[in-house]
Amino acid sequence: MHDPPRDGRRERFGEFFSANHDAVLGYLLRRTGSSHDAADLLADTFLIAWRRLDEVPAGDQTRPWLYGVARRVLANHRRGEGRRHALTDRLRSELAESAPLEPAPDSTAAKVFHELPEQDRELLSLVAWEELDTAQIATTLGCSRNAVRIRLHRARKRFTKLLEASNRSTVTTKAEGSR
Amino acid sequence: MKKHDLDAVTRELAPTVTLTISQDAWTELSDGITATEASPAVDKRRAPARPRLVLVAAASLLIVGAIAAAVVSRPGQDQPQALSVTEMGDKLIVRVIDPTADPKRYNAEFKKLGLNIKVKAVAVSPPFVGTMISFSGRNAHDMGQLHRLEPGEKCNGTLNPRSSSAGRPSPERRTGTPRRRPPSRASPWQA
Repeated sequence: MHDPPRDGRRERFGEFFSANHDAVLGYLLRRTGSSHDAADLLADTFLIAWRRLDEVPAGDQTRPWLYGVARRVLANHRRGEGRRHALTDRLRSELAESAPLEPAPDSTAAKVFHELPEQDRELLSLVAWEELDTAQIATTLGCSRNAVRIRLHRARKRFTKLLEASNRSTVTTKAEGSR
Repeated sequence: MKKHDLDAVTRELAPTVTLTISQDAWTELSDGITATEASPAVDKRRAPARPRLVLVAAASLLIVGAIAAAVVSRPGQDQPQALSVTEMGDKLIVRVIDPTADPKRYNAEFKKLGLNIKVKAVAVSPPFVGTMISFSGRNAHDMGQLHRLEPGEKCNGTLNPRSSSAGRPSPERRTGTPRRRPPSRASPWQA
């Protein structure tokens, strides 16, 4: 016999799982560069969402909330606290077969981007890669919208400065080379 | 570089993700997750609602008490409370006990009370020293509307009960008036 509240919870989980699994997996793939790790981190993220189902916000805040969980799961993973899930076996093997990730071209901008502090990169990525607005980023990072605006402004400023410095040095090098 | 240009540059740096995952794989994972033990129902008892601070009806309003006297840091001394907080219904009345305290002390005491209020010191011209001044606003233009409160005048926007749910301490309750005159610095109360 089914337990109605549990069925209701499963239904709710199923709805946001279906609506967000691709996006969360994309988020993790872009940050880890590894389909194996991304599969396990995805399972960790949704396991947490299942356990904290009552805290998962509705509407357009669900996805940024999941990104926030994925971000923390990723941080734990980088500290070596990852684990392998048997329940992702199939997902992992499908990901391995399909080679889902094609790295970005190794451009000057990419090098400059990687020189930025992690916090700046994450903010700029959440805007450009995940296409989140300020309120959604605030949910992901667990801070105020105002803090997001300020940090984003500073991150853009730093990125611009590094890009301009890099362009200047490229021009100088070319000029010296042509002498 | 313009914002959208910069975002376009960043967008170009995203590794390309192509997902071709079967529905069966997703279902297997979803079923596997929901088969695990969910957490016990969340305790829905809520923390008692915090009384609103009188000075904090609107988050971005600023109220300036030109308590002006020196905002002097006196490290090492035994520091008594800089603020006194009295609960009045659903409001809090905050009195400045030590108008010469460093804003850090006010902030620390607000934090201790669990109130998200930041106090910072700004310079004011000498005529404002020793008076209550106020401004409220959300942008740079509004911030230029600093004016001295006339006796009995209510602080615009924030403290007027008709325009917000907050009240304000009666003038005689305000203890922010300095005992000394210059140096000319004021402590604005930023909510």
